[in-house]
Amino acid sequence: MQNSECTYMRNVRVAALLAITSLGVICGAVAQDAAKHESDGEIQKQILAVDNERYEAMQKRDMAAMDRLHADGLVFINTKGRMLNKAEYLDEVRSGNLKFLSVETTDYHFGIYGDTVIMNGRANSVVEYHGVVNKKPRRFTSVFIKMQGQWRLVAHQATLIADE
Amino acid sequence: MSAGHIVVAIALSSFLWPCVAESQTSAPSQAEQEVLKVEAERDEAMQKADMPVLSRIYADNVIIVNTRGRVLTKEQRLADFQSGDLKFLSFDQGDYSFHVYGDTVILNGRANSVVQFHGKVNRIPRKFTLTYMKVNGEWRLIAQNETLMDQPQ
Repeated sequence: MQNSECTYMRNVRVAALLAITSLGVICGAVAQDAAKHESDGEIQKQILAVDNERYEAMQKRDMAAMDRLHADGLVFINTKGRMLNKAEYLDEVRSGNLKFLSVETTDYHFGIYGDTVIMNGRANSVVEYHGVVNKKPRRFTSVFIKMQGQWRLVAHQATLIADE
Repeated sequence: MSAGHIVVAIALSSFLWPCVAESQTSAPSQAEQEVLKVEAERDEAMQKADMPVLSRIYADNVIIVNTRGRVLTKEQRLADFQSGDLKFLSFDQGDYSFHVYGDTVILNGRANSVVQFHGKVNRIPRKFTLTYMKVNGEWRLIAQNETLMDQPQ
């Protein structure tokens, strides 16, 4: 009888301990989730910073940064409607076939869906592509996804603006 | 319930909780099939100017860039279909490629459709990027960008 009471009490203590531990784990996760819930304004700032980093990396041909800022599955469609994967795109930058002579992006629209962000804007940058200089304004859509804490570009498409 | 049962129940709930969150992402092939089905629905709805279907598929704050580099909202795009300002004279779209990131799918493709936009007919092939996202169990188009192919720069 004493043995069974002792076992019962031990189980109760273990149950209580586990309950406290579980609550701690759940509360910690909830707090972490709340911390992760950043405002749209904060996310926009992060995306703009990452995009600036991207342009800086392109201008400096910093391939390590380029590799970090672009997802492995990147799909890049340029103003000629040519589709490039990450290796092809990075190679254009590395080789100097794609050069930004000046960078100017403006008039942003954002669509924020948690860890997926749509960034739309206008680019007036002057770009040299395979020796041809393009000064025409264009509209672009960039899709960023947060992967392991890092925003990475997963898709980009640019379209020349007609009537200008 | 004995103390032993309580121990097991709490332990199980603690371990299962993170697993549920992880299992919410679909397998890539399933997501691709689902998005392809929605895209087929959208294609049909665009040709028939089926407004309820288009309204369901386009997210409320979808961002659209057309081949002229104009940014359109959902309302503007739907109004173009409703008024007949945007009409498909023939429909040909394919050469799809997918990239699946959990509940976000990037769908790229080529369109050879003949389109009449505000009275002007466009037969030039175009490349597009569609971004679909699963919202409350439904795939919705959150971004679209189209670019004419091989045009003088």
